[in-house]
Amino acid sequence: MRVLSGNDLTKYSTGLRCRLDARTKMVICLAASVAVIPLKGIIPLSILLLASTIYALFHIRIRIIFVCWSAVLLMGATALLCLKIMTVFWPEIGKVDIFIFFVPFFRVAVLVNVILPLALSSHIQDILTSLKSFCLPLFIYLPGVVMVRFIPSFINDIKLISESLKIRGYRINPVAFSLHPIRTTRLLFVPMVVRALRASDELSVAAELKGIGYAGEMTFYRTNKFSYPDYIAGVTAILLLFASFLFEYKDAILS
Amino acid sequence: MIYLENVSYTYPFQSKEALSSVSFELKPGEAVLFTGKSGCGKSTLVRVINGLAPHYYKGRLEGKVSVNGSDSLSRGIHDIAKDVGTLFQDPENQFFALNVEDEMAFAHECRGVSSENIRRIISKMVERFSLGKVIHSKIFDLSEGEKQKVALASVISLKPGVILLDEPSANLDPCATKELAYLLGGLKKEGFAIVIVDHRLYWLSGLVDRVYILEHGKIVKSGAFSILDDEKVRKKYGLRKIGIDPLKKELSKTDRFFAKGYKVDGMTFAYNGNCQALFDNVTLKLPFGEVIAVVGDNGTGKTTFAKLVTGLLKMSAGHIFLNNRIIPRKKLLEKTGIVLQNADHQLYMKTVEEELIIAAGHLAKGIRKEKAENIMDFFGLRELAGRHPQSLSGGQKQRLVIACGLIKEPDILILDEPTSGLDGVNMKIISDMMKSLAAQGKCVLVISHDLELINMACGYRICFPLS
Repeated sequence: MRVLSGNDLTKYSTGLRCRLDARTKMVICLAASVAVIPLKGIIPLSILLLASTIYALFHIRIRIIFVCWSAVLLMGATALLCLKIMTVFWPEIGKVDIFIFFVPFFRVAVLVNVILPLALSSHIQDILTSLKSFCLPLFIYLPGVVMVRFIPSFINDIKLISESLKIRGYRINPVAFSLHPIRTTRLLFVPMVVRALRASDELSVAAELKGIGYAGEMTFYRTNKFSYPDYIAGVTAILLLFASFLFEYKDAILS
Repeated sequence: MIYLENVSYTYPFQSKEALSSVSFELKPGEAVLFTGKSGCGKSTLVRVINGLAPHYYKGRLEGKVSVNGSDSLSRGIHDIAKDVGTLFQDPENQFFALNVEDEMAFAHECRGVSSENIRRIISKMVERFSLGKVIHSKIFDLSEGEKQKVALASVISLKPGVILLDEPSANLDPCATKELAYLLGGLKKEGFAIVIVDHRLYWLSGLVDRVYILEHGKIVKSGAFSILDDEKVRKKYGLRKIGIDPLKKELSKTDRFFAKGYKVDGMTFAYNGNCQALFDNVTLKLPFGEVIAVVGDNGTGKTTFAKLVTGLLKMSAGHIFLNNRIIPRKKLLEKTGIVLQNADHQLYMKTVEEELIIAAGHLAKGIRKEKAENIMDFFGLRELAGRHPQSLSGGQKQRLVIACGLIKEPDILILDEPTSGLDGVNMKIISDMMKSLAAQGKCVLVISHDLELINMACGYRICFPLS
């Protein structure tokens, strides 16, 4: 999460990953999130999954994708196990089509693939500028900006909390969770919640004193510019979405 | 510029007034200091002047608050912020953008200033505050002194007329504090009205025109800075000293005097990606029975050193010895204790007593409670045993986290800035505790910029950067 904590991005500044404007990544995120809702077929979802995986691989390390996918797979496997147990006690559920069962997890995997590049390969300042440049109403822009700005403070707090736990000799691992679930949860969440509340309060005060809610029109000190990789990414995304919908609704179109 | 008449303020859901019948006037080109014990109402006063109380924190405000001739109650916070610039104790809390240039531009963008004008204002401020080297830096990469300077430049760039500074010296090293005093002196001459709220007094003698001492939300004494010369006054109101004695002698590497203690031998360390080592083959002794100050400018590696000594970070070369035996890194955390700066991250349980009992996990179950009670007595926390740790005051939290570090019975206890933002009374409690630990044969390392604490408690000092 080095990028979110405001660390230097210079190592990543070459290649396609940083050349894509934050707005392009945001729009890709939004389009993918909306598109996966009506899609149910194996081919259209597979097209999006493959394309989004390639997109993610351009932006972030394969290890991060692997960890996130493992988490999604674990969720899927847990859900499947629960379903199997349910069918033992409630046979009326009947046989479940395994692909239909995994459709929501396909959708999650696509979303993971498009959200991670936005979060992990963009400067937060670019995201803030992009949010501003969309000319959104203040009630959408303001919470959005506070949320984005909150991320690095929160990650910094998590680092400090984990360091403090180590100093005290408290272990946070599956064994500790099994032996002392309440205490371990408390060790982890109490400082996190307290710090989150304090950080959000501090940021709100900072925002107020800087005049972020000022009724007048805001100006932009910096402006983001689109370049040719943005156009290529945009056109490719549109074509892929079009192809996915074509496969999903081809029967309806042909008839 | 600022006019307060019989101002009383009560926070929501509180019956007691945080400020009570406070009156004062501040003209352009004047600087005043508000000081007093922790919890006396200093920060509330800052909030009343900049409009956060009652506009943001709500609550009940009585009396008249007027800034630049306008009644604050009838104005919004954004409007008051045009006249009043606020600098917090930890400037990082007031940064909204993530790099220096964007931070300086942000408030102007919110006010609709054109990008050409913003560029002009920023370049003026960069020149004035010598920020050329850091203008493109990330906020998180700056030293505390640089952060303070950036925050002050951002505030001044808005031409507010009044500058409020809440504990500005709490995180600064002596050099940066001196530089801040110089900058404020220049602003005062230009006609800015300056309100400073601080516990540390030594840097303010030539700067402020008047001093107000607060107690229980009331101004109990006021006058020229010279009223603080009287030791009785300082003692009565729990204030710190107004002058600093020369620092104690440096801990010598070749000192043969110390028979027992830890030895750091050949310590070498560099952060990932840094080709230049922060520590290169450093050797020194940390003797038992001493309180040792770790001093040096911000960013010279004091906290990193503490993390290496406690095993939180891994040295690239070198060892730590105890009685001529190497201690493996994994064992170091068991034998050492470290208390980091922010107490909020280090408190987890429902009550103070439970916090200590859980921290005493290495002891046999039967004696944990007894040990916790003894430690509570030692730190004056017995009356707070049933309180939620997060509900304690800053000084009480600080004592509790130190107590939790101590209950582990470490050979070395390292305290990182234990008195940041604490008044004279709390500082003395911590100083006495450190001396008492040393008398019990422990080694206490205290990383601090607090010269008064160092003079009060420490026998030796280690100066950073270490060669």
